[in-house]
Amino acid sequence: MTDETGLKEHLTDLAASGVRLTTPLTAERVRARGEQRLRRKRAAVTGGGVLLVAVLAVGGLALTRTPRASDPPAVLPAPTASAFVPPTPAPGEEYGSELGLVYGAVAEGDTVRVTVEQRGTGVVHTLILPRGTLVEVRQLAGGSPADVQLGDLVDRLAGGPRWMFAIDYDGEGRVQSLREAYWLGG
Amino acid sequence: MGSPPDETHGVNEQDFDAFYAASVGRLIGQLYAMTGDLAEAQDVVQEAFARAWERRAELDLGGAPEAWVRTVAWRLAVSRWRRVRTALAFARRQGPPATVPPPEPHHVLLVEALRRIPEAQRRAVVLHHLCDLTVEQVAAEADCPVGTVKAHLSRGRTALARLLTDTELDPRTTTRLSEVRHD
Repeated sequence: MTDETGLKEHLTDLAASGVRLTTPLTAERVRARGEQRLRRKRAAVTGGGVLLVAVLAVGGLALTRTPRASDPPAVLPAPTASAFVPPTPAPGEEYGSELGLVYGAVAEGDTVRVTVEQRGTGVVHTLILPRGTLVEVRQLAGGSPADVQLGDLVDRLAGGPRWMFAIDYDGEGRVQSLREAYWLGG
Repeated sequence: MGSPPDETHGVNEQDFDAFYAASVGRLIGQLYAMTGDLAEAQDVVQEAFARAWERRAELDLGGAPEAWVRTVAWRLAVSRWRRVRTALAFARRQGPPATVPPPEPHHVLLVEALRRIPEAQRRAVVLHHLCDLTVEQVAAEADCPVGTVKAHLSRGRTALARLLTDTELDPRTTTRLSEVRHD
């Protein structure tokens, strides 16, 4: 095989431009991030994992379409099967992830109830998570990557659908963390 | 990094920082070529380094830590792509993503061409032509047979040449560079 395309120089030039246009985090901050991941794993192990309670899963519009009193359904509606199945990790992966808008947060004692509208499918479901659930944020923290507790974000997430998160589920369907999908704007 | 953690071994802060400083820029450049997205490249490389520090007890700076970081970063990039692919149209409707300086026009051409060839071909091309790995080393890093790598390289180069035809990167009009033989 022979390269007569000048590919090496083109690629080298492209990579060099990438280096020029970026300012990597300091090593100290990268290490701090690694420590955060380590602490989270240890907390998950000692805490037995973050509890996931998928209370209800319904199709998006089903929540807002209330039948009029004068217009009863012709037939009794059959129970709707849950459309939400927690994603499972791919082979070799630690977590399976769901991408969705997280909103309607309500603090309930030591837990926070949030509504999730899954991207792509439109499936809406509810999660009840411990207040201490770790959430990776960026825009929500003013632009700098940080880990915060879900309980500290209740006010920010109490409104309508605005913030997109990747929600990481372990192999048993338990939520281990939420990561703000800042690359989607917000 | 295949052995179990051992608190008595591993890497200290000073060594890790030196490794990071020496290789982070190079790896971001490589992942930029692999992904075609500079912000994504920076994110996944930094995340991969964070995971390397998380597993520092297993990290062997005398081995091939850069290849490990590159592999983890690539996997992160691919999995992110797969997760957000359906959400990208939504993102476009919501407004522009974080500001990134505009690339040079000829870089745009190359990135667009790279994005249009299959992931496996793109990765093989970058590992071989940018990272200077032999075909055997590419095969080891990509965990696939040598013959498959050769096929990816051949098809990838052919596809890129076709995609860059009649552009300022047209291989027929640009200066021919050193030939790389691995047959």
